[in-house]
Amino acid sequence: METPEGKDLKPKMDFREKLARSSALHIDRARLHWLFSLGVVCLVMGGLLAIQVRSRTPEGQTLANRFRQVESGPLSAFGQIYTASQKRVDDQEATIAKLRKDNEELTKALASDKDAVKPLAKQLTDFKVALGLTAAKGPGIILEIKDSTMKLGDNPESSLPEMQNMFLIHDTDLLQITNELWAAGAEAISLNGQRIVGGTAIRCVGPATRVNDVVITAPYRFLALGDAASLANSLDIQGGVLDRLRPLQFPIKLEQKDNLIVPPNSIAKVFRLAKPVEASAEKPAASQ
Amino acid sequence: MFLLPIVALIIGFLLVYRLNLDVPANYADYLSIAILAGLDSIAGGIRARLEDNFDEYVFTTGFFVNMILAALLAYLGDRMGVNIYLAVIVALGVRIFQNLGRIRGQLTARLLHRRFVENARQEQL
Repeated sequence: METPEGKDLKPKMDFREKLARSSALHIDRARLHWLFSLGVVCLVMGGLLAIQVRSRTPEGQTLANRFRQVESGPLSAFGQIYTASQKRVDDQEATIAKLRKDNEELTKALASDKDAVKPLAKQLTDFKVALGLTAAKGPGIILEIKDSTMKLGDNPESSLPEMQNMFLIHDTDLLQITNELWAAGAEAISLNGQRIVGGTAIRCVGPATRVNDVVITAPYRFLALGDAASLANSLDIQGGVLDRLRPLQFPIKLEQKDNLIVPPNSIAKVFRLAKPVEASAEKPAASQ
Repeated sequence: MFLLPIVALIIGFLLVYRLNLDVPANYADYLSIAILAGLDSIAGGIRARLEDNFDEYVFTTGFFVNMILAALLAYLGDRMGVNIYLAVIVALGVRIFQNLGRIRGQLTARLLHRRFVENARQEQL
């Protein structure tokens, strides 16, 4: 540690001068400009620190704001386009529902008047149910499945990404269930409010699923109209879909109901390229 | 007397903060190294003043030149792919600690042992 005795190496000074110099609290007027240069330097330093601090925390960005960042910025444009389109789709679905209602009333009025139209009207109703254009009611089952609880780390291996797949519901599971239900004689099936008809595709979209071009997520809720007992049995058979999922601790809820309402499809499939063929002229084998 | 540098620091900080001055994002890291070099210069300046070695030209030029050199070294290291900025940080950090230690020594010698200093001088004369 340096002591003031070191100053003896400099030319001898008056005691009072030495005392004056050695006091840290005494302002040395003769060389005040050292303070000035230090001041300038500190000014510059403060400025640089300000720049540094600003670059580390952009203006107005707190932790709460960071999560709302998407509202402003390039992503917001897509968000706005998406919500606008979604709103248009909702409006159009409402129009379609209203038009269908008017249609039904007109058909009913027509059918009740003329006896010749009655069988055609019945056929039309059956087709509508098959195509999912109207809601249908009757006995059936409700099946609700969710992703397995095991992925939350019961099993030390279950944290690997490849193993994770085993504990998720895939589109293949949903397709298998649908298949079983059709095979067991279901007459109307809906999945999370989407009616499953001839042209319905169930596809994986990342963590969610797309049915009828509508994105749905777990929990997956099937409503199936038909003979409740046989539908339930077909799902519960050994080696069947639910039998495969149950040991992996997928939460499964299956109940039979007497009165079930299956919703209609909001947008009907449009047949542009398929044209009807006259049924009388062709044999089934020739129409490949 | 020691208020002026602190006040200057605060004024500089607030001025630049309010003016919203910014540096391009990819140069922000070099700025941190430059600030470190600046801190080292300031610590060295205070130490020199307390030890009566202060030369304001050496101090001022040293401040700016050290900052530029440190940033340049870091930039050079980035171009070469060598983490030279690590060596800069270590060297500057060591110097800062040395200077701070000597400042502490000077301050304790002056403020806490003033009586001892005065008595010793009286004995010598």
